[in-house]
Amino acid sequence: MFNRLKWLLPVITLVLAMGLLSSQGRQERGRSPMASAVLEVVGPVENILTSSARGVENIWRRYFSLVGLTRENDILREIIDRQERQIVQLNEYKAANDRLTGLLKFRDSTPMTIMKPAHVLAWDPGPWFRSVIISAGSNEGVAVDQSVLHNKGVVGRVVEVTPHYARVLLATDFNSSIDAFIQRTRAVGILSGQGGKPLNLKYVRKDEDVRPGDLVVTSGLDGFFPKGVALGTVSRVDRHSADLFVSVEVTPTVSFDRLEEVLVVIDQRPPIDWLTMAPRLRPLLEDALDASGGQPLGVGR
Amino acid sequence: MSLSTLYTAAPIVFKGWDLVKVVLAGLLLVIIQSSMAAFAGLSGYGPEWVLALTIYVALRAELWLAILAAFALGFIRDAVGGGFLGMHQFTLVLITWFFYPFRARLNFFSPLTLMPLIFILGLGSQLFIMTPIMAVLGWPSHTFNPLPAFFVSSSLTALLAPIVFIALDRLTRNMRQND
Repeated sequence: MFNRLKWLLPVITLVLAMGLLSSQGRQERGRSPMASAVLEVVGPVENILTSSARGVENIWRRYFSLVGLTRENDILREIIDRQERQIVQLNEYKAANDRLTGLLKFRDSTPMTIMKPAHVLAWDPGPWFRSVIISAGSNEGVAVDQSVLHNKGVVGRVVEVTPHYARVLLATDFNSSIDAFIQRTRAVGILSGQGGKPLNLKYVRKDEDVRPGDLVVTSGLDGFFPKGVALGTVSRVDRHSADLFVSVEVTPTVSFDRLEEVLVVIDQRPPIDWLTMAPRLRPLLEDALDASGGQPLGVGR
Repeated sequence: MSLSTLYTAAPIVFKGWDLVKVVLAGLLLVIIQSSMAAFAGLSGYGPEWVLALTIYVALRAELWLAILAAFALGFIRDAVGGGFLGMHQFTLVLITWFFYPFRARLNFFSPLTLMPLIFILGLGSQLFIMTPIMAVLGWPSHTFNPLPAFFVSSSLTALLAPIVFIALDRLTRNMRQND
């Protein structure tokens, strides 16, 4: 009996492997409970290894390199990153303010978001997929389809979650598609990954004004990513193809090869398109003002 | 020699927990590789440790043990790496099935002289097994060209395989057939 089983084993394992493959092909990637269980088990080991490697790297940088200058360099880089993010946000505020002039004065409000920081523990070593494992899971409120950001821009989206870890599909992955537009001209497109640099902004009409150097940001219309987060800068525009759309290459703002910490957007209100909402809100506000006898809303309450 | 004899004539040299040690070694190598991939700049171009381990087990053990090891190592590689579950399992089981009849002859060779074979098996498995699987499940992009990654990965696997073989020989209680 055991001998017969030994002879059947190759066939059994082949059939099992094919069954797993076909089920993976039908369902969304990364939902297998077995794979999630393995992720939960190997996560702590990867955490230890990455922390050790980072510790060794830090010792080299701080003690064998120039002491003091490294720390000052880190502080200055942090300041620059924060200011660059503020510049992108300010440009968004200015563009929105220009559009809404002549109607009621609505301010662009940043959606109230709760962000969970996480460390990047491991990278997919193969050439087929671009994903990373982070040190935050469902116990910290992380869920599938939540967006993952960096202070320089978009990193990707959560595709698999275990209680303490999660797998993030990077924006450079072939399966990644992010609704985006050119910040300067509001030309819309879909930003998709090519397995590395550069990204490809698809479905941009040929009559749109797109130039190298333009900043590409999220539109927020897909419901996954907050609006106005930097994705990359246009590096090349090719209008000579026979397609209906222009070919736009985008260099990502995030250095995906050196990801260390990321932010997972835990709670986000649905994206609000103020251009659509403003005309609808005006009559409501006018009625509220009439009812309050012309007093500012909220006074005396 | 008949086909059945080719498949069953190998000496049994794995004992006790040797197979478990090999699978655990495979798990550790895959975890280390995925943790260090970005530090070493190897993301997408790393060696396929599980292939070297599978060939090692096929050289040392009975067919059913080699198939079990290939299945387990393939599962580890798919689960930790994040790819389609079953892809590396299917590939490694097929490689084992293909390689096994020749292991009695190849077991005479030293690990260094097996390097070209491991390179061919690595490149062949990626070109002729994994590529059709990905073509069926969904080719990433019409511009995607994995050939450079295949060559680098297979070369690294072949270069590092002798170290893996020697380390595993010391880890387990195996001796080469002619020792």
